[in-house]
Amino acid sequence: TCQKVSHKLLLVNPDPGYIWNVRRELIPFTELHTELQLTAASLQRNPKAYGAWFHRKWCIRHFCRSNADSNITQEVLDKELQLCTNFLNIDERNFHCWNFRRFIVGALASNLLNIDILDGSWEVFIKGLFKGSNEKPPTLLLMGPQLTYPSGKVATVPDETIENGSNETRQLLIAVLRNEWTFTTQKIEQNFSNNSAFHYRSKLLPLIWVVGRNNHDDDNIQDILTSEFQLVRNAFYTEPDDQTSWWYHRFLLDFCKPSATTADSELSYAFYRDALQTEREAIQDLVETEDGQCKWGWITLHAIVSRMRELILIVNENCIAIDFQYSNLPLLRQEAEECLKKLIEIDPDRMCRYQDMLLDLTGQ
Amino acid sequence: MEENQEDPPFFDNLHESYITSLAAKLDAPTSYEGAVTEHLRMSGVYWSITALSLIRSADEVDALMDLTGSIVDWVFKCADPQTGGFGGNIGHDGHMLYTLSAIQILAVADRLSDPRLDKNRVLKFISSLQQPDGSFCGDAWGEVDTRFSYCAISCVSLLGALVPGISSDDKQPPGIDLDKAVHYVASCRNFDGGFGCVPGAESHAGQIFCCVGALAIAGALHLLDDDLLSWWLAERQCDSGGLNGRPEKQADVCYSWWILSALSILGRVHWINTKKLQNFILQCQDDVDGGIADRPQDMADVFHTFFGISGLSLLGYFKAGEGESDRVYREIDPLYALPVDVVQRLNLTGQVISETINPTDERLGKYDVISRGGNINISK
Repeated sequence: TCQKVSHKLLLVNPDPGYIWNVRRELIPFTELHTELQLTAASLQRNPKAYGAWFHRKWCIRHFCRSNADSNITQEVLDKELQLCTNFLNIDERNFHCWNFRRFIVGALASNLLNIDILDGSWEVFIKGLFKGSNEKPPTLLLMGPQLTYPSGKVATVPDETIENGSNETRQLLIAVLRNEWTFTTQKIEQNFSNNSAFHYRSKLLPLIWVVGRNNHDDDNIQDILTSEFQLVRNAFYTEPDDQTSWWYHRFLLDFCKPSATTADSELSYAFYRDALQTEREAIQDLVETEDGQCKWGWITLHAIVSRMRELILIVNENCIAIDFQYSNLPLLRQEAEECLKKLIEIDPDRMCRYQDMLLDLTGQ
Repeated sequence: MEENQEDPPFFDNLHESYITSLAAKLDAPTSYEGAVTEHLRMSGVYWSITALSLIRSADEVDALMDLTGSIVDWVFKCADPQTGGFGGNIGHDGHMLYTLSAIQILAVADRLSDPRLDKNRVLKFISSLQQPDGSFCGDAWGEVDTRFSYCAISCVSLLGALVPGISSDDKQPPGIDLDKAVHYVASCRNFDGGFGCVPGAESHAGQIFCCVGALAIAGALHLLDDDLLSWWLAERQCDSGGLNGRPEKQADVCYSWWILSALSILGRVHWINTKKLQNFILQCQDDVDGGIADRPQDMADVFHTFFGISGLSLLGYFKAGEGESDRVYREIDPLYALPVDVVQRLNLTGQVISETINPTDERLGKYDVISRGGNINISK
C-alpha cells in the first residue's frame, strides 16, 4: 500500500516533500500517533529534514483541530514540548526544532483559550497574555505563522473571543511564557555558546517585561535587565572570544535605550546612563585582564561610548534634567577612535570595516 | 588546515569533468546519492549548469551538457499539470523551490520564449501561494518560509512580470502583491539585523540571502539596516578564512555564496578578508575527481561545487589573468544567482547599495544604486 511504501522510503530519506504529500492525502486513513512515530524516527536519522518537521506540524494541527477534547490536545502538546527538549539536548542549535517548539507554544496557547488557530503564530498567545490589561502588547507579530490555512481562509482572532477568557486562563498563559523563559535560561546555563537560546530570549524579554509589570510580585524591568547583563557578563568573562553573548549584550544595550513611550517611566534616561557606565567599566576591566587582546570587548566599548555621546546630545537637545559623570564629548569620541584603531590591529580580517567606521567618526 | 597555505590552483578541467559526468553518475540505477537527491534534481541541474556557465561559454555549456536540447526537454517534462508549477523531477508535485530552478535553467538556456512555457500559468501558481500577510507558501500544503518569498519574487521578475504596486486584485497578468511581500520580509528582521525563516526565527545566512535578494530585486533595501547586517555577516568569517552561517557554527563553503552575495548587494564585500576566503574555497576542491566540498578534505557534491565557484566569482577570482589564460569566464549576479550576461539579456531590474559604482563593474552597474544607511529604524 501507499502507506507502507511511503513509510519505508521516508524512514530512509525524509527529504522528498512529494512523498510526505502522499501521506497527507491519506490522512483520513491514518492516526496521529503513526505520523508522530514516523516523523520522530525520520528525524532521528536526519534531524534537519524540512519535510519531516513540516509534516509533524501539519498533522498536529490537523488532529488537534478535529479533536474536541482539549485535555487530549494538552497531553499531545506537552509531549511535543518534551520532544523538543530531547532534540535540543542532541543538537542545541537545531533551528528546525526551535521553530517547532515555538509552534507548539502557540498551539498550547490556542488550546488554553479554546481557539481554533494552530499555525505557529503567537498572535492568540499575546492577545491572551494582555487580555484585560491597559497595556498594548509590544507586537502581535512576534512569531509569525509557520503553516497557513488552505487559501481563502484568513485566520484572525476576534478580540471579543479572547476577552471572554478567564483570569485563570491568563495565569496559565503566563506560566507557559515563564516556562519558555526558564527553558532558555537552562540551555544557556548548560552552554553559554547557544545563540539560538539567546535569540529566543530576545523575543521573550519584551513579553516578560510587560507581563511582569502587571504582576506586583515580579521583578521590575531594571532588576530583570540588571540580571540579564550579569548573565552575559558571566558568559563573556568565561569565554571572551565566543561572540554569542556579545550579540545578546548588544541587544540589551538597545533594549535599555529609552524611546518616546518609555522615557518617562521605568526605562529612564538615568537607568540607561547608569547601565552604559556599568558595562563600560566591566568591559574595560575584562580588556585589561586580556592584555588588550579582546576584540569583542573593544567593539562593545566603541558601541558604549558612541551611545554615551548620542545620549548626551539627546539630553542636551531636549533639555532633559539628568547629570553625567563623564560628559566630555571630544574625549568620548577620542575613546571611540582608539577602540577602532585597536581593532584594526587585533582583528585585521575586518580592518576595512573599522576603517569605514573611522571615516564616519571623522565626518561627524 | 595550516594557516597561511598558498592558494591551490583552480582545477578548471577537473570541475568541468565532475559536473559533466554527474548526470550519468546520479541516474545510474545503483546510485545511492542519485536516489536520495532525486527529488531535488531540478535544483541539482540548475546548480550544475550555472556553475559550468561561469567557467565555460554558453556554446561550450550547450555542447557539453546539451542544455538547449535534452535538459530543456526534461525541464518541461517536470511541469506539474495540476498546479502549473514545476516539480523536482518528472511526476513530482509542483513546488516553489523547483519552479524557480526550472525558470532559472530556462533563463540560462535562453528558452524563456519556448512555446511550451505557459508563463501565465506559472505566474498564477506563484501568486496563488501568496498569503494575506504577504508571505509565500512552498505549495498548497501551506509551509511558510522566507526562502519562498525569494523564489516568488525572483521568478516573477525572470518572467518579466515584476510590477511594483500591483495588487493581487489585478487579473492580467496574474501578479503578486510586491508591497506586502517586501513588508513581510522586513517583518522577519531580528535585533542583529539578520533574518530567519519566519518572523521570530533565528538569523541564518541562508535565509538572509533570500531576504536581502528579495528586497534587492523588489527595490526595497531601505527596509533593512545595512550597516548592522553587514557587520553580522562579516563576523561569520572564521580563523580558517571560511564563513559560517550563524555565530559559533562551523565554516562551510556554501556560505561563501549566501554571505558574499548579500555583502555584494550591500556594498560591503571589503568588510571580510577576501584573500583568506578565496584560499578556503580553493582548499575545499577535490584535486583528484574535481568538485568542491563543504570544507577541506570532505567529499565534493554539486551543491558546494556551485556555491564554491560562485563564491570565487564574486571575489573576482575569474578576472582575466587568473585561472586558465584562454578561458572565457563569466561573472555571477548576486541578486539572481545567474550569469551576468543572462541577467542583462533579460533586462532584469534590481537595487544595490554602494557609495560608488565603479563604471567598469558591469555586474552591478545596471542596477538602481542607493547609498549606505538609508534604513528604517526598528522601533522597540
